[in-house]
Amino acid sequence: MKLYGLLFRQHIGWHFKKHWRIQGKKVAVNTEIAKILAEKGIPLYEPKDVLSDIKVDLIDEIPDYIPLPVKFDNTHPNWHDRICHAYGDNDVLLEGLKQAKILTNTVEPHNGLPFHIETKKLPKQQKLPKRKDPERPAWNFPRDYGITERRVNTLIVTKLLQAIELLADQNLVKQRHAINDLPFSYSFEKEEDLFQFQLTGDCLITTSNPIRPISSESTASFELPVMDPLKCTISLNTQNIYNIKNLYPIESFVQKSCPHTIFVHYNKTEVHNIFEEPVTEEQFLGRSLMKAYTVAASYARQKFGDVKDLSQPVTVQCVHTDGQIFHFGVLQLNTLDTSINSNIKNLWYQTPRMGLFDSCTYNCGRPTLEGYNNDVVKHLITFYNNM
Amino acid sequence: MSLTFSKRYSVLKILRFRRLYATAPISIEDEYTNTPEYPKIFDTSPRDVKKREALAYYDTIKAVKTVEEKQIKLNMPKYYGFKCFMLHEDVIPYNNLSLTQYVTKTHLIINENDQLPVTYPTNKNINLDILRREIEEILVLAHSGYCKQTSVAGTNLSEEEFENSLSSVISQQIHRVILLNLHTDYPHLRDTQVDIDPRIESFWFAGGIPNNREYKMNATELKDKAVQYIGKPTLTMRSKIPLAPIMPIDQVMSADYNIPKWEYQPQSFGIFTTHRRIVNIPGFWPGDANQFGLLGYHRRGHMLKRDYNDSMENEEAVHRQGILASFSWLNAQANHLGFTTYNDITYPLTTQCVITNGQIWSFYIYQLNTMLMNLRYIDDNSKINVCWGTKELKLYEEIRDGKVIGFNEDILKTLVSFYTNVPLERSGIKLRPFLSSSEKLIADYEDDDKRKWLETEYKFITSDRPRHYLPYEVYHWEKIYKIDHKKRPMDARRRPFELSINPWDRTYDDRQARYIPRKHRPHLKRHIGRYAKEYFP
Repeated sequence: MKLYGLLFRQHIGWHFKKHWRIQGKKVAVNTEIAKILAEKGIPLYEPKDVLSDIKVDLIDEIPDYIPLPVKFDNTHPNWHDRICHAYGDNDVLLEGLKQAKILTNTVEPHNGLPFHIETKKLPKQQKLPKRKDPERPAWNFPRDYGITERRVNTLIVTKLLQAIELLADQNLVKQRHAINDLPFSYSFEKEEDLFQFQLTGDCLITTSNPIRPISSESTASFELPVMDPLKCTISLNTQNIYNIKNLYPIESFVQKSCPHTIFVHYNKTEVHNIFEEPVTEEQFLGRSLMKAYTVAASYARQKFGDVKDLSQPVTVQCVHTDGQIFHFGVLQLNTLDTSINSNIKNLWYQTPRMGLFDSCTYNCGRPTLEGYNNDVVKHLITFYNNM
Repeated sequence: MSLTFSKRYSVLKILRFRRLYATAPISIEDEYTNTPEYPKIFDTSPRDVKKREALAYYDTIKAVKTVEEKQIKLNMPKYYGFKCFMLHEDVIPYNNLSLTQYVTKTHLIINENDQLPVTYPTNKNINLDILRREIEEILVLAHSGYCKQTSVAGTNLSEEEFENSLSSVISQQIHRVILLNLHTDYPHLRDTQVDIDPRIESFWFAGGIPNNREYKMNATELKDKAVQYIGKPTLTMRSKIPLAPIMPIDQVMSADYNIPKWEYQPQSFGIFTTHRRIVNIPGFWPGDANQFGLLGYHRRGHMLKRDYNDSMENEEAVHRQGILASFSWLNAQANHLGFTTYNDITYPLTTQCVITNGQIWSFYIYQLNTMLMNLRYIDDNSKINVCWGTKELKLYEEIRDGKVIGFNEDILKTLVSFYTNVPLERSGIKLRPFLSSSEKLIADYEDDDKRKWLETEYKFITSDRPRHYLPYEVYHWEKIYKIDHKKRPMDARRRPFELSINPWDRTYDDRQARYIPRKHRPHLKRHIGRYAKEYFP
């Protein structure tokens, strides 16, 4: 509503001014009350003589009703002079998987997984993020209403997991918990740089018996990828204000506390490069490794303490999905030593990305599912049954 | 050319008038019958005329073929939506139980011994000890076993939000455990669909609620009140076939059940109105295979906000939540089966509902016998709905040092009995009698354009998206200088209130159809086919 047009519709300024003029010319009428009172012998006082001034205590100090906002500089309580390279949920690494491998001291012995695998929408209508066309950035699309990406991911993972658990061996299911939304945090030093990975596990399957190690062969012969001239800290957030924390969220007294499979959601509108470039496939794969490493390493630190050599490897499986595309990976954590010269290296096995379906929408008023790929569910079943 | 056309037209016109005087010859034998056949005599009192008009309108809705079109048809009278009394699951004003019972026509049965009409199966070998151990494990895990994302620094959750998030974790985990333990003995559980945080919206018309002006009105001018419910369950489970009814309908009608009479405006009890379109969503779109709700888990964090210091009233508030959650879910399901607030269900529907925060549990079983609460049926419809419920029960006393203390196994048995209540195939009953036999959904239509148009329209109605233009309002300066005090007699009268037009009476189809740009109709004449075809039911 444009205010001016309406506000000027009824202009009463003239009436107002007139009122002041009339009132301003008013002369006080002499009621001769003083004379009448004097006749009756009632004394007359000036108001000043009878009434005393009102005393208001002045405030010496003005209290701060609104506390000053915390300054994010060297006066901040969490300020450290040493820079920390932080990696969070919505970040991706510039060089993707290659950089992740260097950071986590991980090698990929061969393509594919270490074990052999035989090879709908809902009525939620919430406001979705704005659509933009890079060709004509000023154009405003009608706002979409539908299911948010976060919800799609949660529902797909929960429903697939339930279907798999109903089919799985009942004794196996009894050894597992499925817990949603877990915070993980792992910090370490590598070549005199400080790193901290603070990540969310969107759904973690835990088990009472950890997964058996995949390979016990020596890893000294494997070479880490080379990323020269770039340093492995590239595109990580450098922070001076941080709180060093090591957190594996499940308490050690819980019987089924070992990590088994981590489900990671990939949310297109939230996960982004720091330079606003679209996220590449390599970066998507790198994110899987970073998440799996954080879960495995934080668990290893809770279990074995702050050591570099692990008495027994920790194996964690990772499923990275955006609701349509699935990426499967397995990480065997052999060491927490991340220096480049380390003889022992961690192992990472993965599949290429695969789609659960090609499209699943209302097509001309009919709900249609096209190009359903059963391999994804087979992979999930194998992952779940892995002991 | 045009001259000859007009000439011919005038000749036809004359002929048509001439024909008024002609009558078809009828033989005299056909005019008489042995017994006199009188035309039906209708009551012409204003009240009955109104009622007949209303019933004719209800029949037009019944005749609509598909689920989605019925919902669009219900919305047809109002462009900006109806003025609805809003009932929210998590906002329970003081003293609301009687109003709820009246609006939903529900008789509430609370047994002293917390007995419900479903029983725990004693003949099957359910291993209750294992179940109990696993549930205790979950409770410990949820309370102290892991660090939640919500408790990490930087997230400031209120007490209510924290309890809600905890109870949704516990309900999901308990559901998972019970499902995995029971599905071998109860295979119906394998085919059920589970929804997490589904969207439940339900609408109905309720008669007999007065408002200020209607005290002075004639009976013919009274109107139904629109009621819209919005629910937020944590988890719902639904199946392909419905649960068996608890009580036969004859028994319900003959029983001495009564519903509290309500004579006050809902506004006096904290229920207010807003303009909304009619939306019925039971957590899934029409056409889903699993259309019958079995069980719903609900949160109770909102109870922490109520500080009336009245334990009796608090109990009633939970009953209100239980009744509304069950009734509205069933009402929305019935709408997806082709029944509406004007066309009553032909067979009873049943559902079960749990309200919990992990420790305190309330159980409800609801049988929906009727959806007609309209003014026109207020005297004729003797069917009522029945709700069986329990008081608030404690599953355990406390959790201390990683141990659950005082676990109450009877509550677990009640919860298990909700899962072992097997849905039954209804023999000899048509589940969707008011839908067309060939086209039950808009997806069944052959015409691509029609399907597309109906789908967008239906999704628009359910989205609760505001219209592009702001709705009509009377500005304050108009109210002061034009309506309350006639200060501007010389102004041109152009605004709706000066022309005695009620803009809220605008009907849903009172609008221009979508314009088709010229380049998309190259073979037609310039003025033909400008607007897209519309398929209003």
